Amino acid sequence: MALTTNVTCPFCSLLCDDLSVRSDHGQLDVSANACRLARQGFASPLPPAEARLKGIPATDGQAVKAAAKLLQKSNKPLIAGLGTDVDGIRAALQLAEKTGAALLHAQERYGAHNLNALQARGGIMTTLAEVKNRADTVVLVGNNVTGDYPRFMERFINNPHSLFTSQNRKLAYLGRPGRRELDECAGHAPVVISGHGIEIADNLALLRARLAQGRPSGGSSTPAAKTRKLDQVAGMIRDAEYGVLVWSPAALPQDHADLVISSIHDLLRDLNTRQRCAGLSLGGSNGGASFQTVATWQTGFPAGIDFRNGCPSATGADTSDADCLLWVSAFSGEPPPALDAPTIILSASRSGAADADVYIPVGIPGVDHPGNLFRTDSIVNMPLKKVRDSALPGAARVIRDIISETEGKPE
Amino acid sequence: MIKLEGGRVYDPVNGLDGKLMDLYIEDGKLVKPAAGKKVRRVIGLNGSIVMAGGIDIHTHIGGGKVSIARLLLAQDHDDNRVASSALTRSGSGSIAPSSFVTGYRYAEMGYTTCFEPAMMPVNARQSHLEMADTPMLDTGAYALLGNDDFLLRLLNSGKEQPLVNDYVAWTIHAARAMGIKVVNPGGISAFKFNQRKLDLDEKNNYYEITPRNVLTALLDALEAIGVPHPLHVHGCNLGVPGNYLTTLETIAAAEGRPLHLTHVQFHSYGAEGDRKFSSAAAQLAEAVNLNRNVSIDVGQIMFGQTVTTSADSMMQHKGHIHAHPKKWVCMDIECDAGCGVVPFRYRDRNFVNALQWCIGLEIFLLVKDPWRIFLTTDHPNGAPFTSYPHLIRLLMDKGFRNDMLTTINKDAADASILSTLDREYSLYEIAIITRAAPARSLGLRNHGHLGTGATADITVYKPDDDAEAMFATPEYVFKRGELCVRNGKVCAIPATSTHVVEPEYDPGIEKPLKSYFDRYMTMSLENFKLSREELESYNQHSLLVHDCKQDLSADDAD
Ligand code: SF4
Ligand SMILES: [Zn+2]
Repeated sequence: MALTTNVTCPFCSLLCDDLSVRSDHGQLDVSANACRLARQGFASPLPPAEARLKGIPATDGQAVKAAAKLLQKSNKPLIAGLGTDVDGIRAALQLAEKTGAALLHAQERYGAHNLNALQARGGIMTTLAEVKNRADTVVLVGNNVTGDYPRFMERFINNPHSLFTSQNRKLAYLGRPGRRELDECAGHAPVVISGHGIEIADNLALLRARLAQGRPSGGSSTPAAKTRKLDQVAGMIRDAEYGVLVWSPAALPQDHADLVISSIHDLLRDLNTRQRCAGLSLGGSNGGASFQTVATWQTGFPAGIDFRNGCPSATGADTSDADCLLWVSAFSGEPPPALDAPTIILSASRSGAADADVYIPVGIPGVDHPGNLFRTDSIVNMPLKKVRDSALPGAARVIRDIISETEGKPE
Repeated sequence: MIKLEGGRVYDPVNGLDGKLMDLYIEDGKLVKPAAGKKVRRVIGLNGSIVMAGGIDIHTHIGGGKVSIARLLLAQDHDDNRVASSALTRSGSGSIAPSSFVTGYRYAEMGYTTCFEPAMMPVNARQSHLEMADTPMLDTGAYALLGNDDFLLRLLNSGKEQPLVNDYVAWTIHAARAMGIKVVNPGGISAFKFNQRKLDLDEKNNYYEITPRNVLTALLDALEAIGVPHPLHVHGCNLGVPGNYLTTLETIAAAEGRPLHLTHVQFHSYGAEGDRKFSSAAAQLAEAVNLNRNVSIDVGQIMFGQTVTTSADSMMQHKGHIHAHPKKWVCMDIECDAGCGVVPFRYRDRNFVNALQWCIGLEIFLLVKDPWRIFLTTDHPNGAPFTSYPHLIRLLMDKGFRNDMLTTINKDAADASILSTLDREYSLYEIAIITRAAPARSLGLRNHGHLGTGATADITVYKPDDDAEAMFATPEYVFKRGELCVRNGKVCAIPATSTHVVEPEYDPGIEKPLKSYFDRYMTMSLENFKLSREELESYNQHSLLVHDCKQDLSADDAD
């Protein structure tokens, strides 16, 4: 039984690295501080190391050849899912370039909300250690903002040690808190201004007006109770030494997410003319933050990249016309969306394998092989360890084998 | 063995000033011809100009803020897309080009080694990953210190200097760095406490320390641990009219210790005249001429669209009002540092921008010792690196310079002494400021020169009266002996390395560090450190470890 400490958990973009993992004949046992997502992730069964062609067992070599052939035959290949680590993404970008493919990350529709705001006007952002040590006032914006980031409250809001702030940081919530969130932040007596859909953006605008003018204003239609809360939250923000607004694009009403995020940035730009306040977005799990970062440095484009003309472009991948899909899902192992085209799956689970033209099992980064991933703040990159005895290759290896095959070179 | 026959060799380290001679390459090195060694290939140079490969001592090519810059410059990337070829990868961008394109463009100008000057230790993995994806070039980076709360706490609590020394050396290992840079010493931290400016002797709102304390501690540390490259300093008050006084005080604060002042053009402003903005290049150059412990790089600006990207979140936030287009990013980062990214267009008709252009050139022409001044545009802050050939022509060709001077804002041209400066850089001096001097400053014994045993990073230029054309399109570039650029086009992708130093330290420093990380940071000490093995796994980059505490005089270069 091998025990590995300081293990980075790859199952959400917080990338907590304080886990210990005990491995016993492929069975993994994670330490108590692992959250439900981590326990579930580390418990994923090891799929048999056996490739399949249309559901029939095949050797890796046969599968790689078949995948290369499908991609080469295709006019509009699509590489999607992209749930993999930095090296897997680097390999996928190279394969896309070679085969003239478009690339689409599974998280992209959420990430796009942030990118739209950033590329239009920019932003004022912060990172997790600054929240932990500096934020004396935190405003969460959205519905169950930290729901998909189970240890956010524990590690960055209820942290026992902090360089600059005391235990009683002030908390507010614009939107609908999740039940677990409410329990976890009960000690901070959060001011909750609930609202649905566009109301979240409206409330941000009301807050901004108050903070800009330094006097309450709320339009006559605003109920008195809400006016009181808005004044209270505005006061909290105004008095903050270092305020942080936290949102998650996926936890915003999707029809209004762009508006909410740009309202947050407008508010932050206003506030920073006289005080310090910054934003933190939670997103980019399953390699999403890594895809955006690596794609940006390698191609100049963060999302919706299409290599169909030999050079990358940001035409926004309209994927409906794809005539071949390479689906990479090394973390969750979820199957690809139904597509009426030949499908190649590189996945950490067998789900969908029976229907795929080609299925090649790959290891989970940070479980079956080492690697690294970018965190939700896109600045910190965490190393991943191998903690399980397994012979499964990483997606990067398999993709590079496919590249060699398309080049006609034996690996 | 490859023979380069009949080149005119400009190798200032070895005192060669255009000597007509042959060079021999074997196993990636320059060698002496000897009996028994077969010449496999002869390349006739017909009197072409031969220099060591170019070395950029300060260029922002790797790390989070460069990618933020790329995100903000979406239009530039759309407009400048680069297709892949059988040999090269694709990419985009003309201002902060994507990583592969950056590598090709540098090599196509004859550069073979580049140093990223502002690597946050917490962002070291990204910086090195990105540089590993920058082909053709050896790379290296300076780790940022001086706004990290660990160091500020050490200083605030009056800890002894040896502890600081150990921490600095430890950081160089942890981030796999070549040196240390400090940006707005303590000012990035002060901005997090809502301070909007910080003078050399002004206290942080939280810590009882000043930028001078930070500078002094780091200067002492680098001397103590024997890192060849001096402390790389981006001083206080960047861009502020009248800031040359701060710069002179910073030189004085060094008290003779080795000091490198970076993009000094942005720190050489007076506040005279109707517009309260004037050139203090003369005062700055005089101080550099007098203080032999000081080296500088210029950070020349060029007219046109670019993007300013800096760890100096305090001054970048202040500068956001000038953003063009109107978008900008500021970030506070991980109790380590910060960053600010502001797109900017320098306009030749604008008084301030035109005078900035003059100030940079004045500094180039007034500083006497070419061994202590390096050619940079602080890419992309002053201009993209692709403007180097143009800049070289401005330095070498007084007629051209004066012609350009007539095209800029007239008040600025009149306010500048540029038209009175007759100096023209020689090829020998250009070889110093673009190769020999950066190599010496960094402690690279086998780079930046063409003596026997040196790494065969070689650039060959066809003589041309138009220096810009000549430096834009080398005839041949060799990387570690491999011909990789022919007539300004990439023709092979050579293997590359990462340059690092590994100064000694007392491992006892990990005790306070571990408790700091466990309590306050968001990752373990173990995972913060970037191991040699991990770095080498990025694109099979090899590591080149340079000696510390070495005595680098010109004559030990061979
Ligand atoms: S919060 Fe995220 S990174 Fe942390 S243990 Fe849970 S799933 Fe893993
Ligand atoms: Zn710089």
